[in-house]
Amino acid sequence: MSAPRGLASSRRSDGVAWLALFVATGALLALSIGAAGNYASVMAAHGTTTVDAAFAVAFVGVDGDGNLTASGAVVVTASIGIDNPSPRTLRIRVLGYSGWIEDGPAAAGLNESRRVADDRLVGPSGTRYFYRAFAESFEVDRPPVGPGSNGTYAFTFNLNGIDNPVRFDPVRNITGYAGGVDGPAWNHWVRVQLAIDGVPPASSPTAAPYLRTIGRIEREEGINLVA
Amino acid sequence: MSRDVRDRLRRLPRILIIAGFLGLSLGYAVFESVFPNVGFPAAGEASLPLLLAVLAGAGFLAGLVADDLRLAILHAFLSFPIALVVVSLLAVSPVLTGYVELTSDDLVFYVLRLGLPIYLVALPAYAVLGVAGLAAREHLGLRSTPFRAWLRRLQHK
Repeated sequence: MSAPRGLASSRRSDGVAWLALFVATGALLALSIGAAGNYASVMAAHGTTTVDAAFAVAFVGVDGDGNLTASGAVVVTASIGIDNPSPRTLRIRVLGYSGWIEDGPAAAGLNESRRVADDRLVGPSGTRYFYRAFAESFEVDRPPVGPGSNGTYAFTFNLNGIDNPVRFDPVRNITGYAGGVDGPAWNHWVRVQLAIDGVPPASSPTAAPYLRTIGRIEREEGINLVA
Repeated sequence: MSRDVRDRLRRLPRILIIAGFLGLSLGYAVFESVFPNVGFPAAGEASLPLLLAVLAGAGFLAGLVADDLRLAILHAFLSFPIALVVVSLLAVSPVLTGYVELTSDDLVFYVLRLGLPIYLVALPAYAVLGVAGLAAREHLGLRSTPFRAWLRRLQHK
């Protein structure tokens, strides 16, 4: 298709087409570098974000013998720390929390139904029985954690006899058996789901699973006795 | 060195530039199709019309600067290994930053496998649009000029 030599001199130069090609190459290079940077920063957020959790259990309405009264309450405060060294902003989106109290009466065979239903922790010293007093999961709307920074969020979980007698009464029974609220051990577990800002969720219902999960980070702290 | 070999060597940079351009556009289209929500621009779903427009535009432009049909086909075929390199570099970019430790070969094969439909679309797109570009080149009466010479002429005008 190339023109004969004599004819070529009468034809126009293809310089404009080459210029368009170089401009398009520059645009594609910029898009590719942008895509690589975007992807790398999302993967960095996945790889470097850490979550730590601290829990404090408080009892409201304790009588002189150290027992929880019927009008009392158990208040667990979870302090969730998020360290985000990545260049992306993270937003805490969903929080799941479970709190177990070591079930002395069940372990001693005094409550067979709870002994069957309790979650167990098998260790070298034998099986320990835990009653699940808290089981919460909810969406969260808190200020985001900026790039290269960290944030701490406090969440309070309340258990009392008015709102949830089914769970509160066993806790009273357990603390009473232990001789006071300070007796039984607690086991806490928290699951935090963080959304990476600027990653649109997969819009198609048939989207591949990795496209649904790439925009969020999940971290767990503690032992999940249900798993 | 024979004149024929010298002529081929002279053409080599042009061939590599055009094939590199096609490879870059194919590599970018593959990456965007596999990771639309972490690409650039990020979107909830890969836009097939946009990806086809990128491939079609690149194919047409490559045809417009190709010397003949034989070379246009050669550019299209050469673009594939270049695209593999481009998409592999994009896939391992998180590892290159040092932030993340991942098995690079797993990532590369993942992206290559998921991008297969785009590779399959690219070859006919490059062939058809390349021929269309060549036809437009003939219609416009364009001839090959060294790019620097063309720039010099442009400055003199």
